[in-house]
Amino acid sequence: MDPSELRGKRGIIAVIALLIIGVGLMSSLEKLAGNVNPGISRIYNILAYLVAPNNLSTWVYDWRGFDTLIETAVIYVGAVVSALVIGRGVVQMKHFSQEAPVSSPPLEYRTESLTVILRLFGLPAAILLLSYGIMVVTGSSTSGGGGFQCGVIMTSAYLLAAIFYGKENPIRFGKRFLVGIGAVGLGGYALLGLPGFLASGYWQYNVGADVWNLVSPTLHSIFGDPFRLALHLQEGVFYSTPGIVPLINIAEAFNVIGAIGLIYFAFLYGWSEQPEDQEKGGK
Amino acid sequence: MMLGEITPFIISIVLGILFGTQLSGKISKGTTILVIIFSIVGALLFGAFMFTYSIYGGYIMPGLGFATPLIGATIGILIGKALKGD
Repeated sequence: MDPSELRGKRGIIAVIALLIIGVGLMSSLEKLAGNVNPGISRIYNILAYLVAPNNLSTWVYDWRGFDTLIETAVIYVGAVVSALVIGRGVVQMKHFSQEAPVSSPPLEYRTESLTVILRLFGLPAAILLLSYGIMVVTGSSTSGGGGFQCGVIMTSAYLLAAIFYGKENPIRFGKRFLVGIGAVGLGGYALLGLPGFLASGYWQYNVGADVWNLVSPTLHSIFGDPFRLALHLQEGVFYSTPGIVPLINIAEAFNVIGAIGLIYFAFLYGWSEQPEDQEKGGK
Repeated sequence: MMLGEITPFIISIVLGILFGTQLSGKISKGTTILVIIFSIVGALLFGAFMFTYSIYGGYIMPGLGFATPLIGATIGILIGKALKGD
């Protein structure tokens, strides 16, 4: 990437965003000093069920938020680097601009090689897989789902359709779409920590669940009420909300779709200098 | 009914529309009907999420529950595809 591209509005926005996130993370880490208990702490067992009905989701995002945020960044950066190594042309490096970008031979559209079942059910199966992926992420706070799983399922649908239909892939995740959705996911995950930081001083504090009663009722209501559920348990009825966890899961899903989709895209179709409208989906 | 039971359904439609706009080619009427039927059957098999009673299921007949986000996502994808066109 040419550093000059970062001048102007984009550069200013990027620098400001990085500064806010950096200050927030450092400040939160500093406040953690002396407050971290190794292993499954007593506090976790007392509070976890209050945060989200699904303990897995609680664990991953409310109690390992920083760790998962960095993992998310690693996945996205890893995918972009993989695309660079495979396709070369993606950032238009000067050294490689003279050479033809590495590209895989075009996949042929051979429906005659497909069995009747695959020809008739290939597209419905891919669409249903997309739906399933969306269902998994929307149920993340109450069932065994989440952003990672959704991303993997959605990209599996993309790969399935690519195997069936080759360059006539009906699921046309173009590289602009994949890069965009991945960036929105990563940025969204990081910025969802901002309300918590502003309200409590802790980055990614779950303002929707607000187990420590640190935020204003309005903020608590904005992020908490849309996902509030009644938990009918033997001990009685409890009203619980996962707060920002479902939103983080969606951001995570976007990031994983972008990252894994980019790798599949580069492996399947390769990168080229052609405008996207000519090559979208491998054309 | 708690808001937490409705929000996932709405989100699934929105996400479905987003990804539906990325579909290309023509989806026949038969495929559309097939996908809708399969998603309804799938929603019945998956059942309602924990602590939810599903919009159409549990309130009518206890024990019957649909994973409504699956149906919402399918509808959203078809709407997104229709918005984008062939």
